[in-house]
Amino acid sequence: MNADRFGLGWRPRLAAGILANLDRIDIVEVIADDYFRASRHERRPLRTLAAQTPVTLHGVSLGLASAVPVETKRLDDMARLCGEVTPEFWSEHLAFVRGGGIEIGHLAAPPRTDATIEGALANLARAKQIVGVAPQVENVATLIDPPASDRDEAAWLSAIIRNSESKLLLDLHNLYANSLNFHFNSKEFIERVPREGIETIHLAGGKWIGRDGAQRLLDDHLHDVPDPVYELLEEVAARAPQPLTVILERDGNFPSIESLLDQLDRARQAVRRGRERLTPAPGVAA
Amino acid sequence: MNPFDLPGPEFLLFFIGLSALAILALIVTRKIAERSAAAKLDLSDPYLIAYLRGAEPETLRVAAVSLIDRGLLVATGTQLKAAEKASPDAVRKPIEKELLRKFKRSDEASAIFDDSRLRATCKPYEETLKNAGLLPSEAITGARWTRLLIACGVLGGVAIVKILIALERGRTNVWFLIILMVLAIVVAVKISFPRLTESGTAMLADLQNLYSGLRDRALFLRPGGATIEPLMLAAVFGVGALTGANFGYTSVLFPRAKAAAAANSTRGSSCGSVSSCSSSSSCGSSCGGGCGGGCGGCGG
Repeated sequence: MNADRFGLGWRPRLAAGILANLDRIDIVEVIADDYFRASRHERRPLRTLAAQTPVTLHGVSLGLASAVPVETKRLDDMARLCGEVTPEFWSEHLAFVRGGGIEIGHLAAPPRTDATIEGALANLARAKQIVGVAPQVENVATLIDPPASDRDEAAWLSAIIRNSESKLLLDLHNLYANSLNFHFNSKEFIERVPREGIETIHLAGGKWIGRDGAQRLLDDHLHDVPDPVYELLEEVAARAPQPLTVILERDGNFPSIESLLDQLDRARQAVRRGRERLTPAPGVAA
Repeated sequence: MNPFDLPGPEFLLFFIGLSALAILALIVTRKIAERSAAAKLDLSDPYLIAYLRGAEPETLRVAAVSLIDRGLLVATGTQLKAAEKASPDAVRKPIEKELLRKFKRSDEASAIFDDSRLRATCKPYEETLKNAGLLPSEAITGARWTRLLIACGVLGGVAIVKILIALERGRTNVWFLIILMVLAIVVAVKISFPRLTESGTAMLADLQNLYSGLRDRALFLRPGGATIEPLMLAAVFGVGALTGANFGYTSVLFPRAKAAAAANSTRGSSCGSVSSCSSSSSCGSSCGGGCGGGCGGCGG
């Protein structure tokens, strides 16, 4: 049975297109933080949306990958929203977003050390305790290799996934951007993270910034998904036999809904190709 | 203290309080009784949403605009006529087929509201919405009548007993009480039968919130059936919400809808839409920030 699902990030700009094409969209991802300060009455449309199609909540402000504990108020907000909307799951980034009371306005990659692994694990345990369900955690894109790191991203991410109850939301464009910016093999990365831990995939696009010799691929969510990201999706589908939820993120410079649906169809094809190549994990009978 | 022993003016105050209480009880019990979990609807059907918002007239207006936008109906002033190439067999939905038949010969656009065959094509939408609990079914209407009769029974009973007591005591100045009783019952009847159920009202408000981004871009929507957006805008907010030169014909064909939309927009129906928070490109997902406070930036 193929239970892979393909969906879009909910943006008001795309509302008409999404709601008119729910036969081609299996799931919708909503940015949870947009609703934290809303009244109960203002959050009700989310319940209506969730009645039409499966919904997931995606956080962007908890700052899980930090030695500083996540503020209880933020987790309470997430818990309340999850209680009202009853999403299929919720997710958040493995990033730090504030320090010393200063919001840095960015999903920053933390130093990859034992300290940030322990901090993230403690935050994930608190998140599960307060919200009731552990979040799926997402790898972030970064334009600088985090200083003071003593391991690479795959090792750091794997340690967190293996030692927590959280599953991995693997953002393939973030992975692709990091692999180009820091010259590592993205397919090897996919091999090294726990395949059984991958549940959700993010797809997006970006653009090159900087001058010759110091160029970086920026994950800006304003461009179409590039071909290599579909290839990475096929790789994941070929290695992870469990059902995958694939979400296409687009934050601006919006194309037509048809274009976004075409990109979802390309994602479906990539997963299908991967499934055809699916190899059982070592020790598992075919 | 027996309220029936109260002197006239005091009893009138008591009766006004009792009426207010009865009307409040009617409103609250109706809201509670008609509240249910959000219904699942076919949101790809603009005519269903239009029916939810404004019954047959709105559904027919939206259908007419849809056909005009697709070049199947031609608007000339206040008149409509099917395009030469347009055939009822070329469209799928019964309401569209019937509209093309209706305007095989040129006629006033407002004629759609008096056509029983056209109105009949809206019946399936009514049934769907009734089944979803968004329009009152027979059972819901029955429950509304029951609550209304109880309230009227209490108000009428109290008033009649007091009148009988007053007459028995030789007082004939009961007209104020009779007027108050009639007023209270009229108000009770008025508030007992809204067109939508509580769930229907909530669903419509939620849809208008979810589509708020569309309303903000009304000026920039492309005509010509290129996207479903103009049609959904008309379905969710009314034909009058279609603004800009591309849809100028709507104000000529349906001036009343245009006026209603103008009145609605001055009330600011899109205010309080939380979802508009993420409508800007800088504050969507993890790339950007600001909404909700402390969002991360690009990289997510």
